[in-house]
Amino acid sequence: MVSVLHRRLLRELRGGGMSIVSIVLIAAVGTGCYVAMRSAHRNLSDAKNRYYAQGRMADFWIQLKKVPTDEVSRLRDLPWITEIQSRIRFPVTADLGEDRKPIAGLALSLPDARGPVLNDVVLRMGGYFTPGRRNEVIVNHSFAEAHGLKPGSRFRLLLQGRQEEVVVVGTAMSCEFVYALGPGSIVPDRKGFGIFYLKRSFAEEVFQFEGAANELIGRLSPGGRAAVKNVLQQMERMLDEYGVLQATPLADYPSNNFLAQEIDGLATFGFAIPLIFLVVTALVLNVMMIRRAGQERTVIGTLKALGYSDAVVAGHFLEFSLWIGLLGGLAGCGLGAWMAQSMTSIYQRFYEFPSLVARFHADIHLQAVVVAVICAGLGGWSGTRSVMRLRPAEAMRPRPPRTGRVIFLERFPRLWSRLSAAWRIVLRNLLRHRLRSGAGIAAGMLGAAVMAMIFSMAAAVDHLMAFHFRWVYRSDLTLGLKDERSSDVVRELQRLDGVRAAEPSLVVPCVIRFGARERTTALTGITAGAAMTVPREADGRTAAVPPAGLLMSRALAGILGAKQGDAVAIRPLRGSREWRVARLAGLMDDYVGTTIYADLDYLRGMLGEESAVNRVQLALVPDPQVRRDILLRLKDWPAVQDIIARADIRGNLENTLLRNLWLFLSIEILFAGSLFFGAVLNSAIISMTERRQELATLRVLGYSPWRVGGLLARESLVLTLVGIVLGLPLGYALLNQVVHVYQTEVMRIPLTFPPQVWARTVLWGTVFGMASQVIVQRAVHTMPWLEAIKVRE
Amino acid sequence: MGAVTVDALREVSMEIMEGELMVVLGPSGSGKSTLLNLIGGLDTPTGGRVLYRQLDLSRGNQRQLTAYRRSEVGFVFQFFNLIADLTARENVLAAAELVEHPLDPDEVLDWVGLAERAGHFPSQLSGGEQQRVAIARALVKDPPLILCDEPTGALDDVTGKEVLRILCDLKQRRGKTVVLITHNTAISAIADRIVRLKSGRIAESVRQAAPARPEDVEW
Repeated sequence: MVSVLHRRLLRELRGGGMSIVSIVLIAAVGTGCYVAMRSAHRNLSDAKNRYYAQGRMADFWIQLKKVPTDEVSRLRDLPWITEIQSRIRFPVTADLGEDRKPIAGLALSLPDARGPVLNDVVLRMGGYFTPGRRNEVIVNHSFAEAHGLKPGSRFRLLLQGRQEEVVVVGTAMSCEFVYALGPGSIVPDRKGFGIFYLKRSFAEEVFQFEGAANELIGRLSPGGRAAVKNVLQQMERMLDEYGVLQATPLADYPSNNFLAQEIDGLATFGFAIPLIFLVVTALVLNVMMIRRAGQERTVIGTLKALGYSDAVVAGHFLEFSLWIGLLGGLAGCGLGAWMAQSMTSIYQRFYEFPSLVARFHADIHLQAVVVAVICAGLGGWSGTRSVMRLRPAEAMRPRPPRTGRVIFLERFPRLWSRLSAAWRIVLRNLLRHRLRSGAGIAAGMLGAAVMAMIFSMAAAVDHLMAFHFRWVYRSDLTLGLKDERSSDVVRELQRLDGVRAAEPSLVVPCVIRFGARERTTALTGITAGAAMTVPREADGRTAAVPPAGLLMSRALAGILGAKQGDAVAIRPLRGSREWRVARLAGLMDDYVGTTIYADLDYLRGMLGEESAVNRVQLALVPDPQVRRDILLRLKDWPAVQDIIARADIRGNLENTLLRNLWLFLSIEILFAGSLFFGAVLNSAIISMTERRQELATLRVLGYSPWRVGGLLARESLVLTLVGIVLGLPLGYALLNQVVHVYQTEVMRIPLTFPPQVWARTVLWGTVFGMASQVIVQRAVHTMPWLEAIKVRE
Repeated sequence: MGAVTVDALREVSMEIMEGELMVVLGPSGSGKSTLLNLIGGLDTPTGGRVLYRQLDLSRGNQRQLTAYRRSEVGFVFQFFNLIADLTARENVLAAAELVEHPLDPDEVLDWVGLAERAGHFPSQLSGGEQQRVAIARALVKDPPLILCDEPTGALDDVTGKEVLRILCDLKQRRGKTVVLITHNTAISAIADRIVRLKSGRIAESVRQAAPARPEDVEW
């Protein structure tokens, strides 16, 4: 029945030009983000769930000094525990060749014969241990790939002071190392950190752990999972005599924590970002459709006069906006599928899964299209309602002329009289079309908010990098020592060629308690005036380590509810392991983990160990060859357990996280820019269409096309700038939300909103907003103004 | 200032006979368009009654008025009101699709002399051609009543006469009832009956025994 109307609709859509393209673009970006983030979310959580189920991921990890394996059976009887296993876990160093620097790694024991274990490995190459050789090793797959290790390859492992040659029998991955972090790092380094699975019998032999283990892993019943902290506390008490160092529930296990944080982030942003874009789509469509209702008055009246019912005419009218939603939704699906593919391939670089693939999720695509169409429908609703209500007789009459009113600025004659005629036209027009101007400003505001948030995130990462690698940790090499050593080791290291300075420190795991709240963390003792570990405030000011008492991370103090001057209970998990009281003498900031510093001598006094050291930081002469020589020499130092090279960690960060981050942020900025571009373009085109006659009259009066275009450009500029100014506080609020989402005990994003973020937002918002003028000015230049002047009102 | 109520029509009582061509004359503001809107079911009166056969248009709801317009009335407007995005043929088709037994759109276009121009958009047609499309659009539903609002108002005299000829043909050959409102007194010569409106009232209602032929009308 309405096929002719359909034909008309399609022609209108085809002839709608940039005004329609701009709205379709915004809707497409919104739905694209929805499809991409929801798909990536589904891909990642599905991969995680499958992998955790396949590998039987543990619910908790308890690290101890040493526990007899017989003890494990006693724990098996505890309620809530469905399974518990023991294993041996030690940091190690890999030596892949005489001329190659030592590489940090982790050794884990696996049963000699394949059996059901928790956190089981998925073999990728080769096979499981054979009964023949004692020194067989299964290497984590990405490390093996990065170094060309294959079954049959041999290399040396420095196992707690013992050098052992091992032979690779297989490569594997494990669900507990999806995001495998080496010491001191926040992103996985496939080349710089390896996981080495040893036969249990071999591990017992080399670490002298016959019949013993230093880690328990287990699974809990659903009730146990709900009360995991209590269960762990109970177990810690039971295992106290074996020197519990740390009890970690799955939620806090670093690999899982990073992964879960990413998945949560995708869920949050998969909702918030598309919402912003679709709100703008609805806003811009609202303005466009109201204008269309006015412009099409006579057509509406004619159709009604012909006998079309209100509902059919309104439906025909609304269909226009629904088509825009549909087109945006479909384009968004394409964009989203491509983005989901790219995001998944980025995730493949960071997360190690046996299978992480970008699947096509038809339901997500369908949801996206439906949401886009609904938003477009809401956007078109107001205009449609006026079409519905318009009585045919009224529609056939010309519209009453607009009421000319004095705008409020004109009440300030001093200011108003100083404005040029052009500015007066611009301001009057903007203030008389409040709905249209409001929509333009709102779109700019949301665009600026997203943009400011993105620039802030980039600034936050820059700040984090500078804070972590330039301000706080300043050594070239950090050496972890096997057990505590005397200070002599520092002097020996200082004598090495190329070492400019060496500083001792002592890192002791501890439990800290304030009131009812308790956390297990590390307490780092540093010398007074240490130059290679310098605790700081967020703004870079040095936070002095007090001669007595503790200097605590603000994040940790917040978790404990403690403030400066409070007395906290602390229990070092070394030595006598007794509870002591220490004063919280100062607070400082950190973003990775939760740190507590104390004066080295104060900590030694607390432990009753006079000159203990278990970490040495080295400053080297700035010569790559010297650095390399020192690294090679350190391989032969039995006291050295692990080596962290700041340049390597920084380099890895720059090559992985930062490169991807900038790519990701650039795309996001482009998207935020589309809000400015689309909304400003639409507003300008509507303004131009409505004022064709007025603009043509100006041409008749002698205005050049540039001068006429200048009026529209000024309008766009005002809308853009007002939008940006209002969007900056909104951006800060949004950033606050983001920072909150990514706020965990493992890592935090600094909340920074420096002036350069404002400046970049103003600059890029204006660039994108004013880019629409290329199209507008072209339209002004090609406008048939002589015809326009004759148009019947 | 308070609101002032102005009656567009007052104490108007008239009958339109089937098959007659009535011209309603009057200056601007005399209530011509309001009268046409009431007859056409585009508007309802605040008082009084408008009856079409057995149907009381003044009490009809929107659905009934829509159905009335759909089957009983064809409109021809001063400024043609063609839909710019549809070709001449599609404009006619837009009306044809509304009724169960429309006339053949191509035949109707041929009848108004536009068979050759059926594929053209309104912007590609002259004023007279556009008005002929509008007449074809009104006719295609085959309604008994054709209402014309200043149908020659936007046309030159030659084209205007051509349009009047078609309207007279509608009455004579197709037996349609035609109501034509205009402020152009010369046109009233073609009417069977002339109703003069003044300030919302009927000033005069005259029956003409021998209406003039459109080609003899001069203005």
